[in-house]
Amino acid sequence: MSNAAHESAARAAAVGALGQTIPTDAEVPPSDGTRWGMVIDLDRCTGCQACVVACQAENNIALNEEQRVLERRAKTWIRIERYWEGEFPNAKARFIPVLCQHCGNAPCETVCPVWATYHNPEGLNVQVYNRCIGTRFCANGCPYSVRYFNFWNPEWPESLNNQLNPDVTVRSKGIIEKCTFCVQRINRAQVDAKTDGREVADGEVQPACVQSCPTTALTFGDFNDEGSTVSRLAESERRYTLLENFGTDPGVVYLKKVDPHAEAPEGGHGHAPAEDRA
Amino acid sequence: MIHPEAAGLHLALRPPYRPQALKVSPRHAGAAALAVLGALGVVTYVVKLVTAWGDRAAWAYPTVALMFVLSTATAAPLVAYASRMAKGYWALPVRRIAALYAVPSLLSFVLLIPIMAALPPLEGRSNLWFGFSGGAPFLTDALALSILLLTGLALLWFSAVPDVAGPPSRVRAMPPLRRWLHLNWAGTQKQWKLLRAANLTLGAFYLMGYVYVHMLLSTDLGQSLLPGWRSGIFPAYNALTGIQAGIATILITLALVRKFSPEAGRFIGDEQASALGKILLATVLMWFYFFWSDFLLMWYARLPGEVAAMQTTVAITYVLPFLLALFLMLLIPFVLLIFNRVRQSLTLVAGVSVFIVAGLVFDRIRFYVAPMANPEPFGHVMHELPAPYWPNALDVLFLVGMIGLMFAVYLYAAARVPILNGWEMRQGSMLRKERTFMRARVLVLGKPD
Amino acid sequence: MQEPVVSDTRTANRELLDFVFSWPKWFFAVGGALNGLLVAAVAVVILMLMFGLQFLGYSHPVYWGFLIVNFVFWIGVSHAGIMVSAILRLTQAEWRRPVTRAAEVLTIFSLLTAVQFPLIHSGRPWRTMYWTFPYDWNRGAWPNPRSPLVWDPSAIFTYLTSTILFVYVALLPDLALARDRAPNRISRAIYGVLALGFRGTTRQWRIQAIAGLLLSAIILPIFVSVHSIVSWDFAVTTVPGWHNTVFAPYFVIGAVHSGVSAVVTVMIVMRYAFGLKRFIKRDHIDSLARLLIVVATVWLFFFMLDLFFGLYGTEPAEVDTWQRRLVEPPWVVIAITFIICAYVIPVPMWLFRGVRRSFFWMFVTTILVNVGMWLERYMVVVPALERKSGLTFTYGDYAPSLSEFILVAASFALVILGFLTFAKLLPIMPAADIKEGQILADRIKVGRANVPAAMRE
Repeated sequence: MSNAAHESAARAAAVGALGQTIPTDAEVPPSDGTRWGMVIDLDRCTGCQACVVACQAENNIALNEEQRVLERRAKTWIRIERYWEGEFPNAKARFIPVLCQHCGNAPCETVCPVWATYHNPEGLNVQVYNRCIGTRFCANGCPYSVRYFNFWNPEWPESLNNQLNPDVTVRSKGIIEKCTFCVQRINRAQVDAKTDGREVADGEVQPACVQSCPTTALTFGDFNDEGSTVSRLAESERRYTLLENFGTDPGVVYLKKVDPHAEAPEGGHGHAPAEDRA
Repeated sequence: MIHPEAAGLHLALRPPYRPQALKVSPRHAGAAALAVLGALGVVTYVVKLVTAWGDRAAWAYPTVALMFVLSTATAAPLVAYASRMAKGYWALPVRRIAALYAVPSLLSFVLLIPIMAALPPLEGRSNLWFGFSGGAPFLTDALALSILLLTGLALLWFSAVPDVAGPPSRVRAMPPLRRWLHLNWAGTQKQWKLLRAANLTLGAFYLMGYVYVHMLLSTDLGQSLLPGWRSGIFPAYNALTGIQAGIATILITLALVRKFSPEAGRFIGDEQASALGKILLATVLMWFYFFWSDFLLMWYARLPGEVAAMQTTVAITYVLPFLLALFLMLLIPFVLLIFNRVRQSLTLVAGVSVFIVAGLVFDRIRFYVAPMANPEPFGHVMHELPAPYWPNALDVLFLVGMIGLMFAVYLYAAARVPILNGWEMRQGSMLRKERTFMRARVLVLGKPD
Repeated sequence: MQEPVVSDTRTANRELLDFVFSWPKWFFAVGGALNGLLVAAVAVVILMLMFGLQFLGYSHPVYWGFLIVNFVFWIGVSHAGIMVSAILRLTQAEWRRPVTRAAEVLTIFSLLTAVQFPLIHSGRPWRTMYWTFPYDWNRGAWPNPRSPLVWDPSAIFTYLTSTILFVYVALLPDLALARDRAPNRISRAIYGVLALGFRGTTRQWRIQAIAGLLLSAIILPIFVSVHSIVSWDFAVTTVPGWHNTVFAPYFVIGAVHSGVSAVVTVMIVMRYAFGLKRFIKRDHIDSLARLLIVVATVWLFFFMLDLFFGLYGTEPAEVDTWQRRLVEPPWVVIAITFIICAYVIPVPMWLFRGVRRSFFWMFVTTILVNVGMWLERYMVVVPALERKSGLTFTYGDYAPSLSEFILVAASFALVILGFLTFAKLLPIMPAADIKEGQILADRIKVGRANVPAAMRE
């Protein structure tokens, strides 16, 4: 590489700026400056599934009866993925809560033929149920497999009718649904703040999963606000995002588990070994 | 009115035509220039060998020369063998001219050896060998290429024998080695049958071998040295653009033969230009199709590793050679070749072909210089775009000299072997008749099994 | 090779139009059986419309399966018509003449069948217009031009329209022939209207010939685009095992492989069912088989590229996908069946002249090819979804349900029924083209041999 020495400084600067080599449209900041996101501290996660239940109740998700789970048609907008590390009897369970990553560079958005899923100015990956026609292309394109299809109209027993959340649409058959970061709560907080004539405060918006987490493993906030808790947490050395090699620019940041006995970290590239399959 | 396709070939039948080798005068300006360029090629090759053995970046532009030879000289004989399999009558006077390129394509082997010696080990980078340890890629690639080159020579040799043998009495009188070189040719029915079978099977083998060698070399000298570049269509693109440039090379050669050898030029007319021009247009369109299939998916999926590879070969680092290749191999030829008038004139098609062959050089630069000059070939993705590696004076001289040497070797071969295959033309002319149908003169083509 | 059919015009006309004006008993039996299958399929579709897609074998995260596989398969078969007609017409291959119409009609009906599948497969089929038609309706949002599912309908409908035009232009002289020989007044009137007043004047022939040639040339890029775009339905995503740049040409050449094989199968069936023994000869099948050897080998090369460059990066998820495709049961059975059926058995057999010229063996081998190619699409589509990313927790399985089997079987019924109906109503053999071939046929004497020859147009 003898010519490298003759390279002009300007050229070097240009190459340096392109060091990320991620296409430019992902780097466009949201227009009003908000990027909602979540930090999940895996060191605090106990795999208790409280977030899963809270999400179920908050978002009118259909009941996941045993039969549904067995045929793998259960809907869990947030799910706890459990991986085994090591051989029995020294096996350790590792938990990763996986929800829609609200990618800045989302593979699901480009493939939808009817704009049913798109990126809103606040960094949310939005699913418009009314537009959705159920091609399920987005679900195939999503590397995190967090999009769920409605194979039938959901039904609840009579006794649960009053349990439904009036702020959340009940999804009919034939469409895709997924985690919204509890957009109804974001909206309410914004309306409240506007009424009071102030900005939405950090920590004011709490999705159901964050609210219910007993170990506060989940934190929600605005990544573009430098003072927010999530921004501070995301600066941690333990930070990584899921499946980084896909270049999706996720809005969910994970903090690696602290484990003095752990071997080389594998979460960094998001590949859990195949033999750990649950 | 004589049907345009009928022009020329009937001359082969009466009186029996004996094809001659090209008469080359060393005092001719073009021949002398080629000789000088060829000498330059030899000298720069030796200089590189002595000064840069094992220095991979120094062999980046020689790799371009290697891929150029593989995509013109090695690709050109395909026209002869494919048209033989498809019974293309128009190609009869083209076949020897195309097959003769087997001789200059030997240069590719000479170029391959020092390039292979400069390659880093396979471990730690993506490659096609998946841990196969039988000397890959060095031995395997050299073996595959040499088999291909030998097949090309064998095809040239076999198909030239009936033209150079003369009457059986002459062959019988030869010393044993020469007689063996003439395959003991007596023109018996059995020998003709064997010749036909050998031409067809070896031709098919050459076709497949060509694609295979392109797959190996384009991966081992290209993709596998640039982390994150993973494109399944690239070997096919490489083979296809090779065929495109091979056809262009033949067209240029045909135009020159017609200009400088009136004796052979009688048989080369606009029929050949028209048929080859159509195929050339098809390959130009395929250029776009293969390029687009590659570009679209990397652009759309936005995987960081692939995007970096695309930025290197298309968008940022080597954008200049890319644009030159785009214009010279796709846009200009497409705009010109869609006109019937251009396709039906040998001179004009040959002119378009010059663009394509020139574009090929830039196309190979954008694909092979970045990997060969890449100091960090290991890993799964590139974290930074490599800086462009422009040629120094020696590289330019090497490239020019090697291209000159290739054509000089061709000229040397063409001066020793009859450049038209008389026997095949005579056979072909028997199967073509002109008839009167209603009031028109039409051409009738026989199609034996 | 390629001996032309020689008979007087009157006999040829009668034989070629025979099926249009006769009502054999088997026609009703076969038609009835096929309609039965269609009724079952319609019932399944109605159930799906009423109760959602729960009857299909999909589960998280495998959301595409048999129906999409079948869509790709029929789009693939539809590539035969243009391959055979347009390319062979442009290259003036004489043996194309009796083959063209059947191949084009196969294109039309397999395309029409194929487009049903993405529609009934979507969650809300009643909203099909939202993505197939470029209009913002009442949603204020146009279809998303970045989605391959929007490119698909444009490419397919362009292809369908041009293919129908292509068939119609070639059909005009034959419609005129049917008009002139129609047994009663009503059918004479219908054929008369359809023939657009074709009387066989020099000017009409010239226009018809030029239109055919132009359409051949224009249709070729469309033909390539259709299956490329179908391949991009998969390849534009980042799904390991789908995302490979070789997909577009790989799909196109695979489509030609299965399509030309289907044409051979159809030709052989037609030969016996419609009594066309004098028109569909061993030479035609032989030529198609030679073409198939080349096509199959190119296809195998692209398959190898797909495999090599799938494993090339040694990405764990991609390796898992290929392991699922080729090694793990039950896929290993499918993989072996596929490669044996699509290449290992047929192509070596076609190298023998005896096989190429045997109707029985060509029938068997071309059926095998299409069995193999159906499985190939299954192998491409499903295992990649079962092993979609590095998150091994979401690995899934797919098993087709009875409904899907019914729908797939019905798609075959639909194509056959469409083809039979066409052959019943309109001349399935290109009579004018065949007669033109007879006129252009000639012979050349070389020594003692008498070689069949043809005038160049």
